[in-house]
Amino acid sequence: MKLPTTWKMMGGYLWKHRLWVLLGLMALLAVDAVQLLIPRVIRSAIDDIAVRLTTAHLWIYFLEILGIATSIVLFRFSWRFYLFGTSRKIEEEMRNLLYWHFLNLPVKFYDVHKVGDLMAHSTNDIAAVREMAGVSLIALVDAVIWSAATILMMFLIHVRLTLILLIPLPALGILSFFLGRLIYKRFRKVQDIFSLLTSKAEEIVSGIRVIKAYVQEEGEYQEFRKIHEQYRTCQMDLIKISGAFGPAIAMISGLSTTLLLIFGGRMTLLNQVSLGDFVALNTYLGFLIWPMMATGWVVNLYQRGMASLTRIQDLLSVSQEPHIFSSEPRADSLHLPTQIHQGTLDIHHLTFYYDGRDTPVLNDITLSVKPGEPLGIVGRTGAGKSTLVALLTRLFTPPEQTIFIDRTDILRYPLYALRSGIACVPQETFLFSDSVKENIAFGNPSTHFSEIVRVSQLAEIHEEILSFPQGYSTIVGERGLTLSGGQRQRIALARALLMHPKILILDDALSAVDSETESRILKNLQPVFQIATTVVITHRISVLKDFPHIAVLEKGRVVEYGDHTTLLRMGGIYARMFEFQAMEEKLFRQTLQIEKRESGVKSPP
Amino acid sequence: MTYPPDEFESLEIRYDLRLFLRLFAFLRPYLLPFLLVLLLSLFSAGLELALPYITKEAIDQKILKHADVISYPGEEEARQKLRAIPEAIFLPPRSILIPTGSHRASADARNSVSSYYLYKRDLPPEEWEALISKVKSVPTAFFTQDILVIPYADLKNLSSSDVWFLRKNDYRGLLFLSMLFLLFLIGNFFVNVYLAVILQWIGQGVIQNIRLTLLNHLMNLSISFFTRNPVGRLVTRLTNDAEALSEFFTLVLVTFFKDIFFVAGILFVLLHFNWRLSLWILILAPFLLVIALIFRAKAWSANRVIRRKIAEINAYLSESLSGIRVIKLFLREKVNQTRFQRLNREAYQANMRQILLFSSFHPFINFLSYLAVGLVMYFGGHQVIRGELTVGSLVAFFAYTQMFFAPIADLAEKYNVLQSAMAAAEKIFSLLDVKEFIPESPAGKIPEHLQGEVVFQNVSHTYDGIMDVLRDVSFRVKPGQTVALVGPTGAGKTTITNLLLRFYDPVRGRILIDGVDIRDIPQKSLRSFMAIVTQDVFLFSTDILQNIRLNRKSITVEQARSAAEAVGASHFIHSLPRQYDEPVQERGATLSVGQKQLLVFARAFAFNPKILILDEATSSVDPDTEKHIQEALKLLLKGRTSFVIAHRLSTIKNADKILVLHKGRIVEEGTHSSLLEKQGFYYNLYRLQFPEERNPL
Repeated sequence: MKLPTTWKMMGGYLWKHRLWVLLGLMALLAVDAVQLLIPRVIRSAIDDIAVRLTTAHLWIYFLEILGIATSIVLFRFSWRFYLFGTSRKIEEEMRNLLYWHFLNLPVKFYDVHKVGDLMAHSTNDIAAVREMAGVSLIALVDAVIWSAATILMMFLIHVRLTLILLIPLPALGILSFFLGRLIYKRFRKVQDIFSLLTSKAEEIVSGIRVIKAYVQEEGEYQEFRKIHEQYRTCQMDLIKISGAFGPAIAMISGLSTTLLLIFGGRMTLLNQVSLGDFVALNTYLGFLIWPMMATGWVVNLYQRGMASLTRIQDLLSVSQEPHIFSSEPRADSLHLPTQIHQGTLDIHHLTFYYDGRDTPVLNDITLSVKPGEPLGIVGRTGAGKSTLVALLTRLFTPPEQTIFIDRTDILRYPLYALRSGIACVPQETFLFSDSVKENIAFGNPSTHFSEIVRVSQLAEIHEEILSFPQGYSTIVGERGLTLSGGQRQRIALARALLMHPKILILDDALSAVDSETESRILKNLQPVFQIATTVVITHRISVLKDFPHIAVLEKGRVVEYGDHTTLLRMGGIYARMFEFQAMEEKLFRQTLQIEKRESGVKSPP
Repeated sequence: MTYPPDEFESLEIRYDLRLFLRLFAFLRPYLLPFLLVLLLSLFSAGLELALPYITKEAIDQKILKHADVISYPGEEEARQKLRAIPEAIFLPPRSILIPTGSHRASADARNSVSSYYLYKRDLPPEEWEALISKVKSVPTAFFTQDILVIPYADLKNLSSSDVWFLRKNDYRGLLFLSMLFLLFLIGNFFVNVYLAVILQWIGQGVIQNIRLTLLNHLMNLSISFFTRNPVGRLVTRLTNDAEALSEFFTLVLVTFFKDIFFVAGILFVLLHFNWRLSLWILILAPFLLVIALIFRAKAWSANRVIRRKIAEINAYLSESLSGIRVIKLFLREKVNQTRFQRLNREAYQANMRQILLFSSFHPFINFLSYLAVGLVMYFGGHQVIRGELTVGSLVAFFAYTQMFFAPIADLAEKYNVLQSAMAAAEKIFSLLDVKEFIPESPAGKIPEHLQGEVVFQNVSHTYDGIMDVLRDVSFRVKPGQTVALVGPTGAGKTTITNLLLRFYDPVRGRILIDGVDIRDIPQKSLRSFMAIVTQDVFLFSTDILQNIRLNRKSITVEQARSAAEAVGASHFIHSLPRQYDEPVQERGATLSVGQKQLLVFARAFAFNPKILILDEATSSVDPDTEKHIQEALKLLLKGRTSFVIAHRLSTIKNADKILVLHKGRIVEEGTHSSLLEKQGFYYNLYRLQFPEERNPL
C-alpha cells in the first residue's frame, strides 16, 4: 500500500524528533497508568470503611493517592512539555522550510500569487498542521490507550458487569461517526459562506470609490446583511448538531452509569460484587467520557490539519529556480563560468513572450554594450524596458542563445556567478525595515563601514543620512523613518554600487531625484562607468546627452539607435521626447517664477 | 522603600473593563434571552449536581441498607445509650442497633461496632415468617417483631435466592432511583442542547450587529482613510476579528456563568452534607487562587511575547515576499534565511516558555484535586466510621471534589480564548473610534433642477500637507460641455475629479455646481447627480444585469437592458450563456478589457447622471471593440457635463474644452485646434503621446 505523501511528510517529522515523541508518549502512558490506579485505591478504602469497618489502613491509602498525584504532576508535565514541544519544533522547521522555498521560487510565481495568500499559508496552514501534530496526535494516542486501559481495569473487577456497562459504547461510536460527518458537512457550509462574506467585505473595501460615487452604501449594506443572515442560519444549523454532541456523549455515558445502578446495584445487593467494586466501576465510567469526547475533536483537527498540509505540499511542489550555486544541467557543463570577468554584454535577436500572451514584449532586440561605453535606453511606459532588465538578471529566463556575457550564454552561468557580477537599481526601490547601514550593505553584509560611506557619497546621500536621527543606524521603512522617493532611490543606488558590479543597470533609478542632484550623481559615477558595463534606462533625456549609444525602445522593438545628436537629427520619438522635456523644464521654471511673484505679493510691505 | 503601583498593570485592568462595558452594550438587545441562558445554566448546573446525589441515595438507602450494632459490656449501659438515641433499637442481650445516618453514640464504643444489614418489616405475616425461617440458619441474625438484622459478612452464608428474597424491595427502590437518574440525564441533555442553541443565537446576533455596525461605519469614512489602510487589514476587522469576538459571547461568557453556578452549587451541597469535611477541600482554595493568579500574570506576559514574535516573523516574511526581486538580485537568500531562522527560533523559545507554564499549571491543579480526594478519603473515612457521614455521601464527595476542580483546570484554555477575543475587540473598537468623515453641512441644499454647471474657484489641494497637487485652479464648465483633462502623470487630473465627487474637500478655494458650494449639498445627493467610470473597471461579483443597475431599484430591468443596448454592450452580453443573468466571476476576470469597459459604460448610462466623470482606459483593445467604445463614448457624453481624463485622440478632439495641467496648475486651456496653433505645452505633449499622427496641423 502506498502511503499518501502527507502522511510521509508528517511521519518524517515525527521520526526526526523520535526521542522527544517517545519520551512524551511514555510519560503519557505513565500518567494514564497511575491515574487508573486511583479508583482501585478508592475501592479498597470504601470496602474498608463500609464493609470491614476499619480505618486502620486509611493513612496508607492517603499516602498512595499522594504518591500517585505526585507522579501525575511529573509525568503530565513531561508529556505536555515533550509532545507540545515537538509540535512547536515541527512548526518551526516547516516555517523555515517554507521560507527557504519562497526565497527560491522564480519571480514569475509572485506575479501570479498574492503576498497575502502566501502569508496565510505560512501562518494559518502551519498552525493547523501544528495542532494536528500536537493536540490531535496526543489526543488520539491518549484516547485509545486510556480507554483500552480503563476497560481492562473494569474487566479486572468484574467481566460480566463490565460487558453490560459497555453496551451503550457502540451506540456512541455510531453516533459520533454520523454526527461527526454531519457536523463536518455543516461546518464546511459555514466556512463556504464565511468565505463568501469575506469576499463581499473585500469587494466593498476595494470598491469603496465606486460604491460612494454611485451612492451604493445602502445597497451594499443590505447585500452584506443578506449574506450574514445566511451565515447566521448556517451557524444555527451547525450548532443544532454540534451543540448536541457534547451533551449526547454525557447522556450516553450516563446511560452506562444507569446500567451500573441497575445491574451493578443488584449484584452489590446480592453480594456478588463489593461496594468498593461498585464505586470503582462508577469512577472508571467517568474516565471513559474524555476519550469519547476526544474522538470527535481529533477527527476535526485531523481533517483540518490534513487539508492544510496538502496546501503546504502543493506550495512546496512548485519548482524552484535552479539553486543559486548550481549550474544548469547541460551536456557541455565542463567549462562553466564561475564569475563575470569583463562584463561585455551582447543581446542577440532577443524575442520574449510572457506566458500565455501571443504578442511579444520584446521583439528581435539586438544590442551590445562594453565597459566604458554606457548604453542609454529610453522608451515610453510599456515599451519593454523593465522586462529587458529582468531577463538580463535572469529574474525571467530568456530563450537560449539570446543574451551573452563575455561571449557566454547567460543561461550557462550559475545564478550566483551571474547575479554577483550584476548590480541593478530597479524602478521600484524596495528598502527593508532595517537600518540605513544594513540596507546599503544589503548585498555585501560584511563590508567595512568606510566603504558604505564612500558609496553613499557617490550616490549623494551621505549628508542626508547624517542628518537622520540616528545617522546610519536610523531604521527606515514601514516601521521606521519615512524617506522621500528621491532618498530611497539614492540609497538603492548606493546599495548597488557596493556590489562592485561588472555590469551596472540603472532602471529609471533616479526618476524622483531632482535634475541637479542627478547630474552630480552621474558625474560621480563616471569612474564606475569607465570600468563597468553600464545600462541606463530613463525617461529623462537630459541624462543621456553625453552617452555614446542610446537605444529607443517602442512596443518591444529598438526603433531608433545612435548618439544624442544623431537621434535628434532623426526627428523621431527621441526628438519629440527631447522637445517635450525641454518644454516641461521651461514650464517648471515659469511656475517657480510665478510662485516667487505670488509669495512676493502676499508678503507684507 | 516603596514603589508606586504598577501603572501599566492598573491601566490594563481599566482598559479591560472599558472593553467589557462596550461589549456588553451590544448584548443589550438580547437581555431577555440572556436571562434565559442564565436560568438554563442554573438549571443545568442543578441537574448535573443532582446526579451524584442520586447515586449517593442509591448507595445509602438501597444498596448498603445499613445499620450499626454497638455492643456494650452490660445491658445497663446499652439501655442507657438507648435513651440518648431516639432512633436506636435495643437488641438483647446487651447491644443497640442504630440505622445508618443517625449519629452514633460515642467514640468509646467504636471498637465494638459491627455493620449489619437492616430489614424493617413491610410484609404480610406469612411472608415474614418465611423470611425469618430462611435467616434462622444464620446464627448471628437478630430479629424482633418487625425488624431483622443480619451481619453484612454473613449475608454470604445465605443462598442467593434467599438473599434475593430478602432484598427484593431494595432492588425495586434501586430501579426507581435509576429511572430518576435517567430522567435527570435526559433532562440535562435537552437543557444543554437548548442552552447551546440559544447561546449561539445570541452570539451570532451580536456578531452580526457588530459586523454591520462596523461596515456602516467603514463605508462612511472618507476615502483618505482607505488610501492609508490596506484592504486586507480592514477586511480582517470585518471578518476574522469579529469572528474571534463571537467566541467571547458563546464560549467565555457562558462557561463563566455556568462555572460560577457550578462551583457555588458544589460548595453549597458539600457544606450542606458535611461542613467539616468540606473544610478540607476549602483549605486548598487559597492555594488554588494563588496558583491561578500567578498563572494569569505569567500567561499574560508569555502571550504578549509570543504575539510580538509572531508579528515580527510575519512582518519579515511579508517584507521578504514583497522584496523578493531585490533579495534575488543581491543574492541575499542565505543571509535572509539565517535571519528568519533566528526570528523563528525566538518564537519557538517564546512558545516553549508558554508550554512550560501551561504544562506546570495543569498538573498543579491536578495535584490539588487528587490531594483533595485523598483528604476526603482519609478524613471522610474516619467520619464514616464515627457515623458522622454515610458511605454514599463519601462517594458523592469524591464526585463533587472532581467536579469542583474541573472548571479551574480549564481556566488556561479559557483564558487564551478570552485574551484573543479581547485583542480582537480592541482592534474593532479602535476602528469604530476613527472619526475621519467628510463633514456634512447643516445647510443641506439639494438643487432641484440641476443644470450641471461646474465652477472651480481658486482651488488648491494637498494630500499630505507637504506637496500641493492642485495649485490655484479656476475654470468654469457650462452645462452639457465636455472637458478633457490632459497632462503628464501627477499633473492633478484625478485630483480634480476626486474633489468634484467630494472624496476630499479642497484645502483652499471652492467648487460650485449651479452656483451652490458642493460642501452645502449632502454628499449622497451630490453623488447621485454624478457617475464615474474609472480606468481600472470595478465589477461586482453578481450578474451582468446587477452590475449595470447596481442596487438602484428605480432603474428597471428594461432600462438596464436598453442602456446596454445603447452603449453597444448588448452584443457581447447576448453571446454569454446566460446573457444578463451571467454571473461575473472574479471581478470580471473572464471578460475582456473592452467588454468590461462597455459594461461600466452601460452602468453609467443607466444611471443617467447630470455630471459624468470618465477616466479613459490606456490599455489598448482590438480595433472592432475600439469602434464600439468610441461610439458609446459619444452617446455617453451627449447632453451632460463631462470631465474626461482623456487618452484617446478622438475624445480630446471632440471635447468642448481642454484643460492642460502640469504639476497642479492649468497651463493651457482651449480647444484642440486653438491649442495646437499655440505650439505650446499641449502641442508637445500631443506630439509625444500620439507619434503616429505625423502632421498635427
